[in-house]
Amino acid sequence: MKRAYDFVIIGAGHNGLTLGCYLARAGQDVVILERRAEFGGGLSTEESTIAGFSHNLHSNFHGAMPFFPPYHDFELEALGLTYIHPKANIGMPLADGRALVLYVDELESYEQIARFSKHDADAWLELRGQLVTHLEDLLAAGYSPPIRAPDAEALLAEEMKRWFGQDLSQMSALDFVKSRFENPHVQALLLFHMAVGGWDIRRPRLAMLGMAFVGYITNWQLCRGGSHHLAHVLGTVFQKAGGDLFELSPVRQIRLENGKACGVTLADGSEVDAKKAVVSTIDPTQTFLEMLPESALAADARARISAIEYGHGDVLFGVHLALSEPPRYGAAKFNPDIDRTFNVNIGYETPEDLVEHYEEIDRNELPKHPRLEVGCNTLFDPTQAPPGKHTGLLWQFVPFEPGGKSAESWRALKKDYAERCIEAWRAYAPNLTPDKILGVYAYSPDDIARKMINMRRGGFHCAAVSQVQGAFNRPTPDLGEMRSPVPGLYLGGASAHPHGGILAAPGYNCFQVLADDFALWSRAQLKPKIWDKARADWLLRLRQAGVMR
Amino acid sequence: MSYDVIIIGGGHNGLICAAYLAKAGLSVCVFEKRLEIGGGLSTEEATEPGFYHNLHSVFHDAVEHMPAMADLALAAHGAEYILPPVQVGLAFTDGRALTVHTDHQKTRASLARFSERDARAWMALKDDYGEFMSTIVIPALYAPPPTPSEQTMALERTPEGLAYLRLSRQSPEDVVRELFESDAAQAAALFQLAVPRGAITDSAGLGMLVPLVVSQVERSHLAKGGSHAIAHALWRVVLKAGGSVRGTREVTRIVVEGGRASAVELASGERIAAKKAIVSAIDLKQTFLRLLSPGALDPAFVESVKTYKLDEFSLFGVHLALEEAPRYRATAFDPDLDRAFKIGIGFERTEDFAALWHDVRRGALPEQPKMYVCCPSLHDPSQAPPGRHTAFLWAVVPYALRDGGAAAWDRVGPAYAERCLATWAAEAPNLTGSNILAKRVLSPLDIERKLQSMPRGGVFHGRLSLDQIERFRPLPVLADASTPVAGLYLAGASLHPGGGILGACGYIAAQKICADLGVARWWS
Repeated sequence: MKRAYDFVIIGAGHNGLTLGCYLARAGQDVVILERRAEFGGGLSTEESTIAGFSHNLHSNFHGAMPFFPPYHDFELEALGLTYIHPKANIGMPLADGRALVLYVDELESYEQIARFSKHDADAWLELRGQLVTHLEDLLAAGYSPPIRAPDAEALLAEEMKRWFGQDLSQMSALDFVKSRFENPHVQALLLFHMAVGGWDIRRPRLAMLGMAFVGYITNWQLCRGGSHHLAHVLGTVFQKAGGDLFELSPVRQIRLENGKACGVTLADGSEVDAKKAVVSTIDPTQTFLEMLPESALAADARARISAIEYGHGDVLFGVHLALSEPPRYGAAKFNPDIDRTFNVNIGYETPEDLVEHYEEIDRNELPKHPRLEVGCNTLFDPTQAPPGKHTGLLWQFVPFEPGGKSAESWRALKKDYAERCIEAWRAYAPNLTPDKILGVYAYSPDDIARKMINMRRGGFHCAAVSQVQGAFNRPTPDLGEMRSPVPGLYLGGASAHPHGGILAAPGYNCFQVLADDFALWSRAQLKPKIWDKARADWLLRLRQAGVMR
Repeated sequence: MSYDVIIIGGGHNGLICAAYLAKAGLSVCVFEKRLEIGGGLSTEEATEPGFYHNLHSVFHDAVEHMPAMADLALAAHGAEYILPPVQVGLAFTDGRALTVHTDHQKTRASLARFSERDARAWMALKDDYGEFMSTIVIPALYAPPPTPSEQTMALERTPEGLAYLRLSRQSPEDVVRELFESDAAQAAALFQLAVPRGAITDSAGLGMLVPLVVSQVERSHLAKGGSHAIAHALWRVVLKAGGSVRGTREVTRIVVEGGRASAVELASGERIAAKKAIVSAIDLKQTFLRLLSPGALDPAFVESVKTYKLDEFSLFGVHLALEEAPRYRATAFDPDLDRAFKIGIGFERTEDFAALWHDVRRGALPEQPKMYVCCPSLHDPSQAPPGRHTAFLWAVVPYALRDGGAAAWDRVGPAYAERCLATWAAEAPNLTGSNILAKRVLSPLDIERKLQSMPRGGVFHGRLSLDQIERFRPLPVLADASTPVAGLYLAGASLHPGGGILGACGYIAAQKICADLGVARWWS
């Protein structure tokens, strides 16, 4: 490790790696320091059950390809990255033996929804049409630094009204879906795929966020070989561009000189200087309250950071299975494709089922009747298990502190709760009998918070996604544009705009801010993005309306 | 798509070979079937988050001799090694213990408690052979092996050489019986042979390993942060030298055109051309029996590959996440035991080794498990959460069980793990109950499932027997890393000097390839 770099990045999750790639390609001297022995953060794939069975312990369903900016900018496919896009993309088997499956092909989806409700099939096409029309706008919102324009709210509400023909501004996702769709199963499937985005579908004023998730509802894709492969490829780009990546290098302190961030001190006492900036891609609590001296921030800014909500709607209990055969659903008689559907919802048959779980979690109760998000990756990528064998994963929304006890109590609970979750899956896929289950690995929110310490309280967004912690207020108003009150210190991970998940957006957005602040590449030097024009138009209109400088 | 050199297999030998060749200016790509590179350099949070378990190699003995360490500046790329001062401990059921230290005087003192004569003999052996080992034997690990006559002629001129030639006709058991009178000293010398050297103690011709382990010119190191950190360091070197490493890409065929290895085919159907060489860093049988079509090879050669003898034993691993480190009864006798790096349980006398090999050869699970145990987090706290510990046991076992073959491991593994743990707990009584937070079993079958290049759970890529070492390893015609197929080389642990993290096979292959291609060696 050199003594000094232009930029020091804390955390080698996919956002840290993405940011590192852009900076290194812009000719900057960059080091990424990772606390863990493996880089990649949520891009984690491990043989947790039995040797030869690969399990994506964190992110599995990736919805951002091919828009993910590094994908084209660094030609990741040529480096061996392959994304698989299963055509039966999402679905739900029902207790009554039917199944609702949505496809990459809109018309196939239309036909399947029509088996439940002609009205909803039409409503689906109308909504998809509206979303696709504004795809560039949606992408521009995610893949640009947030615009601090609090006075733009009314303008935005008007704009949304024009796009969707209704006033969304005060609605929750639940309100919105119920306003458009009549069949409870169709409602449940759409809401479920908003909920798995990791935020509260009941909270008012988040309907628009829900819409973003519906925008890529059938775009769930699988990283061939396991999610961690994406980390390897990003790590390759970064290091080939001259960047230095070091694991097992926990940062203890961000050093200040005349109030400006000038480098970091590692746990072993060694120091690395940052000639231009330090960028933290980990959570704001560690960054600002643990790594900086108390005097570095004003008391009110510290108080706002202390008050950040972690782990709400994004806390999952995972069970990973080694299987001798893939799940076969009773509902396959109704639609055989349910057996080859990528991202499957088990048991959330009506919106009320989802709401019941949110309420149980509000009360810190373990959901009594587990309902799940499940998948069987090996149907699409046989390399993830030995020949002829399969992997399965299931996730259940849970409270971080079950029964109001400490998170540590998961240790005693998780084995039994895993069994109950498997039973819930078996109710829909009766072949998943114990003899077909070769290995089980239960992964609790307590485990998550101990493995990935930036996923505080087990939440994968590394700061809950909510109205008050959104856009230019994410995670707090002081930090909302990737810059921080400490000169030379930036925030560029999932805690920043727009949110967590494998989007590369916070890292990409942070690069845009750094490019401006340090006169690196101009945006024009980046490969053109399909959302460039939408972004430019939107900025122009905000300026014309006088709500932005 | 094409490269100058394609390397099949991203274990440490494949990566080392790639790094040397890439730094020599060749375009190089390593194709690895698994998601993770490193092969036996594998570290996983296999029990609980924050507990790093080295599922394959742990004891890296040749760190101070491995040319790659300095040539490739591995330390600058994140490879850091720890040398525990108490290297070895043997815990005996009578409550006594023997410890071997980096400080030879301490080793002498520990031995003297069992036999003053043996303590003197141990030190004399070290003094007689130390320099010979470090100047003659160790360098020979990193060079193509000489012919038997060259070797004999070089050795027979000096008294040490001649004595060494005699050792090379003895078994390690013969040697320790001749040298030492106490069970403890005999066991201490023999203990070092199976792990990490892969040597069976009654093998004729391997007696020369005894002065090697006694003189301790090789010393056991622990990779900081886990063995996989070394794989990351090698990966960085390859990338920064302009090479490529492709994980999740399985080579399914080596294409031979006009008698020359010219390309590889991947499971994905892609065909990648190699302009100058193809290097197989995977095992011998896969290379010649699976990747090459039989027509490309002489039938007699194919037969000799088929009869290449795989490892005679495998290891049964149980990895633990612990609240506190093991504390041994025998520390009352020798307080250093608790801090020993590699501890032996069940290895008390030469007869124990004989009984073990008897069981292993007839496929029986040893009634009294014989185990190598270790608590890495004592020496490197970064491998476990603060205040907590990782530990593991490796029991020496057969791959194919008499009752049910290898497939029986999935059935008998959990119960055998408990038996091994009970045996360990008899010596370290705190290894029970709530001290064990979690455990993970890795049977010989699991080794093979994880690393295809270790068939029959053989971690050493083929038996170390007199007919399969040095100039005869793996086969006489393959000893210099070249093969009967022009343009195809070997770099895996099937080559001399064999398995373990020696960093030798890949280095020897790189030397040979540079020489054949007329590429100047950049290293000294």
